[in-house]
Amino acid sequence: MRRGWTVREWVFVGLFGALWGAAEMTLGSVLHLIFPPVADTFLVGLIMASVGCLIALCGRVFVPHRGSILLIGLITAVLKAFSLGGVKIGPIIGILAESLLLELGLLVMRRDSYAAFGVAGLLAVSWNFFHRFVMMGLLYGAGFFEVAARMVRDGSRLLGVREELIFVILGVLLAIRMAAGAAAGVAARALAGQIQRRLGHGER
Amino acid sequence: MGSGRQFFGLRLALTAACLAALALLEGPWLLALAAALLALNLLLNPDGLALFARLRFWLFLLSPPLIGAAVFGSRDLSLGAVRLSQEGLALGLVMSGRALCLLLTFQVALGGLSVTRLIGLFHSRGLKGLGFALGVAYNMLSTLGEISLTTLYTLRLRGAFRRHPVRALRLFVVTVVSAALRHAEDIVHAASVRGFDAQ
Repeated sequence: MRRGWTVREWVFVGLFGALWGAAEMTLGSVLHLIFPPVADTFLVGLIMASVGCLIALCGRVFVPHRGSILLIGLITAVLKAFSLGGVKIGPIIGILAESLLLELGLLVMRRDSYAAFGVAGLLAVSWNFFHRFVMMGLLYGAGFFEVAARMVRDGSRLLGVREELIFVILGVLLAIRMAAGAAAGVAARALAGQIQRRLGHGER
Repeated sequence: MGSGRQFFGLRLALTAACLAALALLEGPWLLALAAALLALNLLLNPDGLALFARLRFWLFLLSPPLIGAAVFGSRDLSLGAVRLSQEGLALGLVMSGRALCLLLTFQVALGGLSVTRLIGLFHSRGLKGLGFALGVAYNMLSTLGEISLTTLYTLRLRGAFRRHPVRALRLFVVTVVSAALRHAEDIVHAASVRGFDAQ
């Protein structure tokens, strides 16, 4: 897969991995300090996923090979694993899943267009919605889903609302993430164009 | 490199054994596994246990038994004025035990590992390009910090964030990435004149 990559492309993979890693280590840590853990699920995850998507997709424009985003994600995950504060499973799985989904989106669309970048971003940031469920299921096992289902039933009875309303709320939260991801993807393509022009590379 | 391979082999074998035990064990046995993993971490990676000093970790660990006891099953356990569910408490404890085992297994797998060791491993496994990219990324972090701070101060001194926050943010990203790419070109030239080949 990686035969024939030039030194420049490997350096660019390292650079964009470092950019994403630096954003995770600085902005991510600051946001986790500002917002309480309960709000993490939505706001911090959404912001960090969008930023990561923006950087990784910019990287794809400069290393236009299949698998480059996956490698950028891998390097980011390694940097995150060795950052201050110790090893945390959640962000590492999140980074790897997002880079895999970005790669998948660009594989499906097969073009270097705004639409392809939008779809890739949409897929990657929507992972943020499923991340908490996957992580809780992975860490706590099947018991988590039993307790969660019970909490939904009891909560809806307590608030006097129908259980279906919970799914409507979850649907809205997913839609917000998808919209943010698509916007981040399109913004990444536009920013990469601006960077190329500034460096005198010109649009591809 | 030989001792490095043994190091990775041992860690990998221990991680696989821990994951297998986690899949097979149930109920109170999970707590025994957690105790064994704790001892293993003390032996191999004492620094990793700083995890226990974090409030967030305890919140993560104690919430399943507390929520389980409060919402799951019939309230058949009295603790003063509070009535809790034994079934929910047991379920929550098993959930926490499983989560703790997974976290400690992860610590066993990655504890004591360093970026330098990982780069060496990539090189020895024929992934020279990936090892090189990881080295570049690791060493570029401080440069990226300097570039970001310089750009941020320049934009702030010109009042950009106050007048046009969105435009300033876009300018910030474009400037930082462009400057980093110029720096990356210098690395490419340095590697090329040294005859480095990532193949």
